[in-house]
Amino acid sequence: MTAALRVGVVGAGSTARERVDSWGQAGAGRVVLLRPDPGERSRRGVEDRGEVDADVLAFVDQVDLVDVCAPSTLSASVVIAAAAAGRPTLCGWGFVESLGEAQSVAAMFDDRRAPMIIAGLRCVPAFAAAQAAVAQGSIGRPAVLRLSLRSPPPPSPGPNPLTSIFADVMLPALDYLRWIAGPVETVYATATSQGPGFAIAILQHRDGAISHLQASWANPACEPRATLEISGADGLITFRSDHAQPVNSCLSLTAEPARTAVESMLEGQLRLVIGMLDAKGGPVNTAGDWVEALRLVLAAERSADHHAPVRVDPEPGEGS
Amino acid sequence: MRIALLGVAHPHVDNYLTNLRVAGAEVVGAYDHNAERGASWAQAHGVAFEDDPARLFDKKPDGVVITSETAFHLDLVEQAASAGAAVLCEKPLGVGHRDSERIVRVCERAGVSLMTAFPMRFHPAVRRVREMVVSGGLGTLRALTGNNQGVIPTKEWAWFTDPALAGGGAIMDHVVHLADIFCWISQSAPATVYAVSNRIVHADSVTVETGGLMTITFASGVFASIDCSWSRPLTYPTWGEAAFSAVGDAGTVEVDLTVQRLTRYGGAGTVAWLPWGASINQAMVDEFLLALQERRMPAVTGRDGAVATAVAVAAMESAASGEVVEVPGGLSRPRASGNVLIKGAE
Repeated sequence: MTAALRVGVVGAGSTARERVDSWGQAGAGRVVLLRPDPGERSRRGVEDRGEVDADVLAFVDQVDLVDVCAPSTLSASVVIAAAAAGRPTLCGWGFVESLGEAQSVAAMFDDRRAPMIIAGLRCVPAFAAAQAAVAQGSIGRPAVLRLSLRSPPPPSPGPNPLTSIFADVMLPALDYLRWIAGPVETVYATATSQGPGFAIAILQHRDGAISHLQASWANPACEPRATLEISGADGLITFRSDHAQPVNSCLSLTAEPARTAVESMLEGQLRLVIGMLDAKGGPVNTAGDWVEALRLVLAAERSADHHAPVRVDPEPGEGS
Repeated sequence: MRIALLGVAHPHVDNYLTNLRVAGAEVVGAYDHNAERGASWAQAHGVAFEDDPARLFDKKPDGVVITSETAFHLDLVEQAASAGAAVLCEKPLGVGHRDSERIVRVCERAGVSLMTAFPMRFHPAVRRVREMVVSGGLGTLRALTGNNQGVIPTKEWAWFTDPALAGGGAIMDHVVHLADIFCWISQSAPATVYAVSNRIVHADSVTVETGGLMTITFASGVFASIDCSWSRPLTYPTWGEAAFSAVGDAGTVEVDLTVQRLTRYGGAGTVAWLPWGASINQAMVDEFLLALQERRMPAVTGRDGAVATAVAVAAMESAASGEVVEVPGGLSRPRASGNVLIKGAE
């Protein structure tokens, strides 16, 4: 599918344009940017949560994968249309306002056997490699996991309650930790109520592993960075994204800024998404995985609000 | 200064002997409840051995360094206090909260100074971060997060995994350093603790927890987390590591206390990290001796050790109950001043 993969990027901002470039770098066959009509967006988006231009919905049928980079108020209709068309879709959870809404959307994707993908850590090559190493038994049973994600603060938090630091930064990390160490039994979280966004979550997994997750917006002038550590019964895996680039430069101040990254994190993620769609074994995640990650986000938020550990209900099919 | 060593069970005893000698102290002898072990160690290090601590105290030491198993701290501190000797005691102070409090009170009543062996306090990087916080350079402090993981102690140091001798496992061993640093940097008392633990690493060889994660909420509202796990494999290039971050309104400052190291391949092991830079053990021993000479309380007190031990004990209780646990006396505990005169200073 790689050579001919047709990707439709929905969006009008710089993020969407960056995605088009990154899809090309990652090896997509054809990438199309569909820009929703700005007038349409400003006139109707806020009022009724995003009836997007009809052309966008029609376009969904003509691609192999839909990448939704539109604002949250516009994305719901596109995602639902993509689900209805059975198209693999890359999106976030920003467009939903409740767990029930997320479950409904996930059910639509599952019904049509179409993957709903959130370009999370599962798709970051180093993180995927770490999971593969754990799955192969190279460090034994996971015991203590540490994951830290730092970035500059976002321009402005969105109006949706699901755009807290827990949802915005922790969601893909919670999904990853659950992927490595299994379903979660309890979540304890704490976060700053003033000052820069900073949060910690401690997870107890049902199989006995424990995880420490740190999300930080308290890095005003720093590059985003991810660090990972998985301690197992027989060994240890570590990763730091700031020690992962094979090319580094130190150029004259007058020189043109040079691109030194051999592959950006986004390109790596998209490359793995393409590979995932090609794989006969199917996608590495289901829409249900993202629902579970969202449940963990909500548990973390509740824990931080009440200063108490929160028990997570068993996952569907897990038993109690 | 004349110093006696009480106990040779702790891995730091070799370092402290060197530190004492470098500082010009006279090491008058060593004692260990295990006479065979103690005599062997003493002979190898050129130190006189006494199988009865009373005979060591007959030599009138000015101070003692206690490097025994934790369970023997209280008894040895009581003997040192009775003899009027100042104490530098390994961490954790006691095997439980009551034990630690008693150690502090015994020294207070006897009027001898008690210092807890928290060498990280003397690391220039830790001091720099505290200066940033105190001066306001980091803005209002909001959170601290740190990791002090290590390789599980084995062989002659396997007593660290015996709860009767050590008071617990990884939590008792590795929480106290960062707990103390976080109290010191935040200038606040720990109020509550939440912790989880497990025993997956080395599950078949020990009965105590080997993995531990915890959070601390301070009276000031600052919160912190600590990873205290014995999660490094036995083949790890060093004993472990210590690092932390402080988050304030002006941003984040990150500290790695073990980053100053060389990497050696081959030789005695496959890969090893060789530390370089300031010796924090030397700085700590220097302060113990200087405080003794100046007849003042040392920069790190016994009370500091009791607070940190209370945090570790609360963490073990939380891990067992699954609930948030209050640190005993956390909100009302007075902070010791660094310039309190002790008996005999007048």
